[in-house]
Amino acid sequence: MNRSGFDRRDLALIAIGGLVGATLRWWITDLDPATNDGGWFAYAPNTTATPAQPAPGIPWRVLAVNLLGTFVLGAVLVLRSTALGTRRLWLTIGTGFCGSLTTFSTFAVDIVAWWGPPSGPISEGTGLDDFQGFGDGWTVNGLWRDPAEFRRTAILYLALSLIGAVVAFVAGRRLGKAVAR
Amino acid sequence: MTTVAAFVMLALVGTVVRAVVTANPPPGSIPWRTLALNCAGAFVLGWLLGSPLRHPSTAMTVALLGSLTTFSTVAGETSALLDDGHKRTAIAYVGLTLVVGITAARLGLELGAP
Repeated sequence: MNRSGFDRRDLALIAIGGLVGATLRWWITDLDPATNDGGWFAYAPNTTATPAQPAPGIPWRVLAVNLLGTFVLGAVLVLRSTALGTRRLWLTIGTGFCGSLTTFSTFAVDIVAWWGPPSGPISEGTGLDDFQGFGDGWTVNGLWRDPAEFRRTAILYLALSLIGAVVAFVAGRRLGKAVAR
Repeated sequence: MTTVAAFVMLALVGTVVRAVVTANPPPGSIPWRTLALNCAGAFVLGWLLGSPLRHPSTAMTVALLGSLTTFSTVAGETSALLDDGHKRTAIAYVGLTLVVGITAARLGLELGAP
């Protein structure tokens, strides 16, 4: 036991749920890097995803896992206060699975990546120089891009994540209530 | 095989650390620990990806930082604050998560750049 109130069994359940969630997130976001439709990881070095990007896209896969996890969490939170929702179910699915299926770090970095490249010299020969500042625009895989195009995508992604989270959470709650009935 | 082992290990570490750190958020106030963890994870991911000279592994980025940070917990905590009538706190929490988290990622990318 510790401040969190988890005993060993609790931690084991959380860990199992988290491992499944993280693996599912990896599988969904990295299913086919060649067709990965957006996000920093499509450009990051040490991945196979370096085909020309037609346009800066919303990281749909990351959005999908975040909304899926939020949906499931909404349902589990409702069940938590019913007879169906045991403490173990909550720890495994709510804390472990949903917590690890969803992610904030990639979300934040993707927003920044679309909003503007970090300043400072970025060396050639890797995916990251695709973000190098280039006059009044940026080059992405050799194609000049209007920064405003990226910024619109960043705002759209942010908005979709926020609105989508509310919709997914409310829908999850409804499902939970329907199951509990 | 080592990649799989590293992925499993770091996903477990990230999940358990997050679960312990974010457990029992203070009722009625901003869940500071979740906020701090999300911002720290965003900063470190930015720092790791800031330089093309660094080649962070999938285990490091996807498994560890991905599991350490969370989106659904923020939604759950915000909903709990709203249900308890702490509307302002809920709005402040979401706002702080977005502003500080995205700033942390930006800072990480800037500081990580060679």
